[in-house]
Amino acid sequence: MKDNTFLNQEGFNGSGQAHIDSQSDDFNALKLAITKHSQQQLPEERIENQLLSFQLKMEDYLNQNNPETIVMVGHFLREILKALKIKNNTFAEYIGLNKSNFSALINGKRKINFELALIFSKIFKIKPDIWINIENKNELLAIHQKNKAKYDKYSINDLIHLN
Amino acid sequence: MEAKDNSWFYQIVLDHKIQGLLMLSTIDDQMLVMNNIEVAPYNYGKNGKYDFVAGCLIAYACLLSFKWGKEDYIGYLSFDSKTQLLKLYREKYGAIQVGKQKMFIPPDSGKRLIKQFLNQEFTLGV
Repeated sequence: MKDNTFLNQEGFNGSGQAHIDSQSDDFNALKLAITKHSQQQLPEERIENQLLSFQLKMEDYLNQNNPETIVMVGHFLREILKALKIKNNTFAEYIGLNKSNFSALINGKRKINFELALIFSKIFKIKPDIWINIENKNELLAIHQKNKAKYDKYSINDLIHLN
Repeated sequence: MEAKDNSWFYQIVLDHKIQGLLMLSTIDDQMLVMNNIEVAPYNYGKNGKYDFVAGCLIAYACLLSFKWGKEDYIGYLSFDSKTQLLKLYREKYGAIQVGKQKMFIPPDSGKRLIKQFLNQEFTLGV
C-alpha cells in the first residue's frame, strides 16, 4: 500500500512531525475546495496564472548555471500550448509558420529568432528576452559541451604570466 | 535550501540567527502544501524584532506554488492552521478556511503577499 503520510524528520516544529494524510476526508475536502475555487476563476485569470507559472519556470531555467539537462525553447512552447489547450496546428497557422517549420521549432531543431520571440511575447506576455536568452544559453551550453577542452584551457592567470 | 524527497526546507537568517523556518511538500507532484512554518519567539507579534518573517516565508511559499503547482493547483498554497491562528491567516494573508483547520491561500492573495513581502512585482511582463 502506498504510504500517504509525510513526516518531518528534521523536527524543527517541536513535535518532530509534520504529517499530511493525503487520503483523509478533510484533505480530500481541501482538494475539492481548491479545485472548485480554481475552476471558478475567470478564464483570463486562469490563463494569467498558468503563464506566470511558465514565466517562473523559464526564469528558473535561465538562473541555473549548469542545468542537468538542456531544455529547448520548443519544449516550453509545447508545454504552454498543451496547458492552454491550444492545438499545435492552430498556433502554427496563427503565427504564420508552416507545419514543418513549426515542428522543427517545438522539437528543438529550429532556433527561435527575434521575430518569433516578439510574437510569442505579445501572445503569452512572457518577455521576448526570456525566449531569446534561453535559446542563447542552450547554444552556449551545447558549444561548450561539444568542445570543453578547447575553452577550458584559457585563464586570466595564464594570460598574466605570458605578459 | 535543503530538499528531501518531495519536501523542501527554507530558513531566513539575519544577525547570524535563524529567524524563521519553512517546510513545504508537494502532493501528487501537483499540489504545494506548507507542512510547517516556525518563527523565532522574539519575532512574534507586531512588536517582534522582525515581524515580517512569517509574511516573507508565506509569500515565498506562494511564489513556489505558482512554480510547482500544476493544473487546478497553480498558485494555491495549502496548510493546516492552529485554531488560534485561523483568523490571522484569513485576515492578514487572505487564506480561505476549509473545515476545521485546513486552509488555502488562493492565487490573488498569493500575488498580493509576493508584492507586499518580497517586494516583487509578480506580473507577466511585456
